[in-house]
Amino acid sequence: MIEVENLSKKYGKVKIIYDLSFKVEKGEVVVLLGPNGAGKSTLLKCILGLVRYNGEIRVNGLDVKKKGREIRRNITYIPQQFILYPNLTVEDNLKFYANIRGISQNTVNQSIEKSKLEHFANKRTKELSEGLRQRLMLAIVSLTDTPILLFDEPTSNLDFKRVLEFKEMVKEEAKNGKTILLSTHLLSDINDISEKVIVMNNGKFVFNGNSEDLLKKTNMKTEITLTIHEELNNKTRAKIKDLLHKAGVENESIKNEFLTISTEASRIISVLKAVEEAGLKIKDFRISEPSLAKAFLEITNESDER
Amino acid sequence: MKGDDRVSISSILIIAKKEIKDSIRNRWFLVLSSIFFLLILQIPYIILMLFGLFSYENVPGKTGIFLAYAISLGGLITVIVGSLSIVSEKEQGTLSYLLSQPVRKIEIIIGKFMGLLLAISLMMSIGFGIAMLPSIGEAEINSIGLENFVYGVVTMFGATAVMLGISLAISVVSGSKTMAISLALFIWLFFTTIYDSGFLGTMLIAADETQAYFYFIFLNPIEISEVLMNMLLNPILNPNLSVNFMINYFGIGGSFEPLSLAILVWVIIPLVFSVIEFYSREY
Repeated sequence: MIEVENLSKKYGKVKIIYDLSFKVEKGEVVVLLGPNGAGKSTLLKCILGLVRYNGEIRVNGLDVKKKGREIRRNITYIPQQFILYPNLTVEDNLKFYANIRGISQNTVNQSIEKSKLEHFANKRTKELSEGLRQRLMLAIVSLTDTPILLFDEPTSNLDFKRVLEFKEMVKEEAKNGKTILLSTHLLSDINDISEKVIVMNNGKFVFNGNSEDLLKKTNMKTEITLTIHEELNNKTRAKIKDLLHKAGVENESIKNEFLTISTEASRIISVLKAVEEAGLKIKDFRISEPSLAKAFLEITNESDER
Repeated sequence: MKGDDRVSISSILIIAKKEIKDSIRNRWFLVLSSIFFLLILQIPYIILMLFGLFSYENVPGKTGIFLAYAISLGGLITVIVGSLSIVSEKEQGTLSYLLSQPVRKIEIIIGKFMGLLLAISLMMSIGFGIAMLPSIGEAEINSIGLENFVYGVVTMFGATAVMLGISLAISVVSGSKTMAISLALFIWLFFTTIYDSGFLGTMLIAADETQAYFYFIFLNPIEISEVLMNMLLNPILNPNLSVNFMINYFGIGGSFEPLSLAILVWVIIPLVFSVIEFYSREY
């Protein structure tokens, strides 16, 4: 479990994090979402005890300021940059990180085998292709079996195949009851992975909840676009508007043969019934679900303006 | 220190081992080793020898010359390698990951120091050893005595340790590799060349001020090592002003202790500074 209370952090005179408090329960997967420079990496570094901060952070009940090494023993941190020593071989890289944590040679061998790196074990990492380096990096990360995982923009350097592998790995770890805090600026990382989302902007939390709540908070609505056979006359327009308002629609627009309706997902059926009742001949219709991207932009822009 | 705060010897050794492997597999390190070997042999002599105009036996005072060269040239290689040690890890992103492991910053500094010291010492021993190989059994070596020769080699390693400590401190405080290398080269140039010429004038002015001489020697680790080396190998017939001062002030036998102690102090101070600075910085 990670408990953060009144955390604030300054680099020189610049304040990076403002009085944050939150909890990540045991076995919970939390996505820390925010644009670049929001303070996500700094927050993770505070949890690891790599930087000085004001406030309190406890990991599994231990104070980060006092028990840094013990806490880091229970955390696997995956930074956004490569973590490989270019002059060392694949095996030496794995062995080095394994030795630091007291992991056996047997585990290293298994990891090489599992990652299909046997043929490259004696190659220096600078001689490896990008894909192999990514594979080695994931192998290093999966060497450790810690109860807490901290990911800092984990997919920013990965190719598509590795992103999918990574997501599978996170899901697997989550199933095994690991506590996961994942920072990202990519909304695609949220899908499938997270239970809880924290949106951060300019060092402040602008949202803390699940992704559905995020959509609700920003009041994002489902958009229905209907293409009608002929342009509508004023009388029909008034009739449609009336029927739609009765169906609970507050926002609609009619331009040429296009009728665009914004509504909550639960009202889609009654909206379609109202359209049918108005006797419109529909050529085509499209339903756009509210996107997290829009919600994210709305919520971060809102906090920028404050 | 107890429990979580205890310095872990095994972590230090793991980091030191990694540094040795990393250095040995580094192409630049091998290039520098070869240059070291060639420079220690002194290129003019090599060229003359290659053309058959000079024989190896005629190189004057090989041991002294070679060891003295080893101190300044070894210092150059050391400052380059050492100054890159922390800053390059910072730039390639491995430092953040290493710090996120259950290791302490002091273990990283000591581990790096030990690993690099061993790697550089090994490289210097090979270079120096190959350069000296044809001299085995020569009267000059025998006249120095094995004990003094070993002391000389240890002094060479001591000077390496000093320069490594200084360059580690440079690496910790530098923001980029370019800055680290530039600073390191300046420090090396300062101790080997600028210091000598700059202070020569001071010495002439303060010819009777023994205290000035004292500072002149002890404030420059390269000077200390070279004085010690000269005293070990050729204490009487030495034109070096600093050697003469040490003999006059402390006597031949009495000079070894303060000089050796000064080298030790010069190793410890930059190392302690590196650790303090490393702790004060956030990565």
